[in-house]
Amino acid sequence: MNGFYSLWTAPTMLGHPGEPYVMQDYEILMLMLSVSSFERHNGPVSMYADDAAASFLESEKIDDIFSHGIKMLKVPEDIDPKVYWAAGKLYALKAESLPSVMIDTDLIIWKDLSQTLADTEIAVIHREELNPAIYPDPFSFEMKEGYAFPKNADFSVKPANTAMLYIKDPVFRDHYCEEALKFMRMSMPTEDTLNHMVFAEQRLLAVCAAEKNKTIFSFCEDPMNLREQKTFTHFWGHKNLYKFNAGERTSGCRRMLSRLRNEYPSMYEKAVNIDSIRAYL
Amino acid sequence: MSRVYRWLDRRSNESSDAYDNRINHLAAFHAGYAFFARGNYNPEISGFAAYILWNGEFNSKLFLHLPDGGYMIHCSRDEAIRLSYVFEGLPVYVKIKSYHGRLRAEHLAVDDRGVFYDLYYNGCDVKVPDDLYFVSRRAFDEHPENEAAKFSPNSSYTPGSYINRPKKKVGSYAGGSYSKGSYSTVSYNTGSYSTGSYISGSYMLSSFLLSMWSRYLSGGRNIGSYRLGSYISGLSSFMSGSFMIGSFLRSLYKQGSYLGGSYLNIGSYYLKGGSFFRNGSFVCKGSFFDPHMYIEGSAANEGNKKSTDNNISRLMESGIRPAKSGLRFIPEGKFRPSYRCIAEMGYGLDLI
Repeated sequence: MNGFYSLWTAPTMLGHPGEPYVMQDYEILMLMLSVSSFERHNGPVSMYADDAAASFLESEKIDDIFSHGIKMLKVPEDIDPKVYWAAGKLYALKAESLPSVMIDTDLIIWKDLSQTLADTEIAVIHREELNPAIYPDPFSFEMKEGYAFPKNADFSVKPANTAMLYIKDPVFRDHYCEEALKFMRMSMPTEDTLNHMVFAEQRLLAVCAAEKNKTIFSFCEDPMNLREQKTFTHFWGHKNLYKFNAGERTSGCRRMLSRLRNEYPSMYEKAVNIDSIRAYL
Repeated sequence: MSRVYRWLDRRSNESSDAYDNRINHLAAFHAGYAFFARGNYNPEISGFAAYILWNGEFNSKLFLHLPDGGYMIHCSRDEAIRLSYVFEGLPVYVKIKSYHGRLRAEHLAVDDRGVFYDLYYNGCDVKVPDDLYFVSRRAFDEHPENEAAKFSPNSSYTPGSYINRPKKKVGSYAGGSYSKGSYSTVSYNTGSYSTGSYISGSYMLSSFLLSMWSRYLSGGRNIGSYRLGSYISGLSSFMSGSFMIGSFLRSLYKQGSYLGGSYLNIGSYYLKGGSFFRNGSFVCKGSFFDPHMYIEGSAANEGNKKSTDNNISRLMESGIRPAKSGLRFIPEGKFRPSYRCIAEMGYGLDLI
């Protein structure tokens, strides 16, 4: 089973115009651990990166950790990176040969998924609750003239979290990407940085699947059991802890380094050659 | 543009390594205020969530801008009650590190008159203190009796920005001495909080304030007029019994744009710590000097026995943490976290 990651730097660079793109030390370690584990248990991975991200990976000499190499990621300029900060994932998904697993850079998959995914058309880790603060009424979005939601859209279905997304059918993939990107292009300018994004990426996935009578498999049926499952590590909001809490960052980075040293020595060698990571030795 | 933290900028002829070296050897310095509202205390984990008012200029210089929510100290219930009375906020000290010219806050501590609490980021919820706290902060800084914190608008700064122009020992305090990386300047922060105006009517009159506290809890918000004496008593008619008199306070703030507008809130609401930054909260909107600075010859300083031992810089350099305690992000016991809470804090972290 193939996997792919994506790095679109435009949203990050909004806060640092004119500066070169850099990944934080903990972000690099998460990515290295994720790539190592997926390649060991599942198969080769590729990275869709824009110019800035590719330059960074090259400068840190970690551009060769992806078995299928780095592929160029192009996101059109009419996509607002502030609002649709994860649009890069959809463009990567559109370009990838299926079947393949889309993986967030902060997600680590510790087990072989091939058997589970063999009989599955669409798979995610878990579904999301329809919390109106996060998923408001779809008709509350201000859209440009001419926009229409998918035919027979059923908005009662639970959105699907796309930290990991497996889609077998390229036709469905194209339909989903088209709907999501159409929403991004046709929405009116907004300051919202959450609701629009998760609607386009996660709610429309479930809506499109329902429309096409496809079942979405969830590895974790009850999201309350996420803490008990042993297949995935998703850093998600924990990254903020690493961002602003030096003690947590240090201990987290040391744990990841230790895991790399014990299980993926070649990746460990690459990690310790990176200046910012060497500080944790 | 403000210039208090200009010494954090990289000099034109300074190499990246030299800059990193200079910054990494700086002592911790004052970069904001922590506000504690009683509703933010969680007795289950002895955690007291703090709302932080960062200096906008300082925050804008960091590579990763600091949020105003999501921070916590650990303290006992009694300490929490005491901290709740400090409406002016307590100074937050930050030790920063530089890597390849990018500044990152490493260690943070809240200074309660010589007792230092480690300030952790753990993404906790924080109820933003209502306007009374910010009014107290400003009122304290502008108090005519506070010699160290004379307010004097200066047109060379950001228009309308809130600048204290202390009269005594300002030159050595205001930035320059830090940029030399000298630790000899550490005395500036010692004992200065014990000035009469700082504690006027608060700690000294605890019994009186206890009765006021009960009124405060029961909805009355005029306690500020007692704490700050005549200076703010003029507000009492506006404030009596009301939860907030937003427009008046808003105009008061706007005069100096100390809070840059974005900090002004009517009443209180919850800020999901760390999940977002409120627009403009870290934009350069104003500046302040630490009004709690050392004043030579002050009787209050002489009486401060802790001034030498509890120096923030030494503490943070040596790693001594008076309020050290373990972090528990999702407390156990009766508390059952929501799915969202679990997810936002990540999952499967024990698998690494």
